[in-house]
Amino acid sequence: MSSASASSKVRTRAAVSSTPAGDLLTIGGDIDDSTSLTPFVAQLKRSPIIDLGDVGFINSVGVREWITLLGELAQRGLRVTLRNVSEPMVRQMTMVIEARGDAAVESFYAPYACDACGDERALLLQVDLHKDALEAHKPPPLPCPSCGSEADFDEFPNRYLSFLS
Amino acid sequence: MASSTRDPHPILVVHPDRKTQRTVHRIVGGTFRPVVLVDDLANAAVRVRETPPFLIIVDHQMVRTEEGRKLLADRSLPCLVLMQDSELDDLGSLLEGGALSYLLANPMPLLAEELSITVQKLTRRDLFGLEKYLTWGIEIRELTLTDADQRRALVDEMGEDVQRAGLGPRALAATLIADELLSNAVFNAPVDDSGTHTRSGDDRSGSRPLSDRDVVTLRYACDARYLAIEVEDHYGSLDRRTILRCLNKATNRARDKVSMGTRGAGIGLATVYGSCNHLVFNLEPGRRTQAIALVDVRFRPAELGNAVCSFGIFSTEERRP
Repeated sequence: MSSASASSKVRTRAAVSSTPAGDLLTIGGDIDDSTSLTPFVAQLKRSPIIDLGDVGFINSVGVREWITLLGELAQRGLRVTLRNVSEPMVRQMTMVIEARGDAAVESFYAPYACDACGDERALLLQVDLHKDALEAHKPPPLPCPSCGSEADFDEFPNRYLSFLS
Repeated sequence: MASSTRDPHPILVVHPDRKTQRTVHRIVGGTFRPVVLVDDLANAAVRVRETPPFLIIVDHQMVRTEEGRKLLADRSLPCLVLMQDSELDDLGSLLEGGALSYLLANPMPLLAEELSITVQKLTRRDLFGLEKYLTWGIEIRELTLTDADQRRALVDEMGEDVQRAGLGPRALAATLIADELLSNAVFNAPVDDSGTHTRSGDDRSGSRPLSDRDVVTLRYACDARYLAIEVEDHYGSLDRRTILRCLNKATNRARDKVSMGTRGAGIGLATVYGSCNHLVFNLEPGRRTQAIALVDVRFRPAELGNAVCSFGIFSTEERRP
């Protein structure tokens, strides 16, 4: 099932597909007052993976809808994996502990800035690949997509990475 | 040559570090008020008895003591707390006291600007308007919300403007700030004569024409220092204690801070506070509430080296010596 425009005001894109690793819910757009995520619970039966890479906005009411989804999946005994967690989602997870809940984080976006060219953007970090650095709150420099120089993590690690702990 | 009349009430700076004392003196010296520098609260108490100060500027470590808490609780003495090089945990204990009105946490040069503007606002008793935080001549965009369901359209329009201004990832923070402040103004601000919130149970995505007192305005502007976002309602129902309780939710990862049984989630103001560098509330009880969020566009978070954000709660009803 995919839901994009039950009403013209709904700004959330969401669709479920089946993958070898489990049932994949891909969410994009805005998670806000108009969002309804719980209808997808019934379709996430096998090792649910939720891809949040295209979530560009989530407000406080959207956070509540999101934690309701996670709570219902947890009640069914399902262990959720979060993939490509976007920066707006991470920022809410740093403040609201239930916004990550017991879900495992596979990968997430973090703000990076390049001193050489001034480019600022969110870059993807794989949790397994950078496990030691992330646990030490020392996120690695990454290649700048704009000029190829080294881009540095551009937040307070203690604050931004708190959602992983 | 005529000499202007000097206000005898000094600005009292209470800080253990002499270098900080001198820096603060230079910043507030432009008011041409007397500035008194002391190292501790005991000396501050002596000075307060001699001449009630216009404003006390005090180090945050000092207001953790019993004497310091008393100082903060005395609403007749406006107290501005300086808090640098601190973690969010330190802020939580300060907010729980419920007496704080002005906290300046950013390092220089932001501190100089914030401190100077805060003191000028108190001196002149002229509180309202984002213009006070921006350089002269900057264009200010103003959008009016005449129906509750226009909220996201206005936020989108502002987001596009911020993108066009080349502010990059700050557009994310700007749209979230505007959305939460507008939501607060449309749904939480309206009260009836008994102070009961009349719209907090409304569907947040539905249509409701807004007229007279219900009209909400969004203004925003950006100079080379700040992106400033201002939202104003015409109820003036937000109070300092509620603000502090809400902001405190941004300082920790405690469970159960999200309200599950109400229309609002109860973390809107905390979200705004966590998304900006300086959050200002201008309160005119019963008439209007104006919230102004400032996002620094010169420095990236890591460059500022400070995880705590400044705030100020100004009220037209605060007494001054």
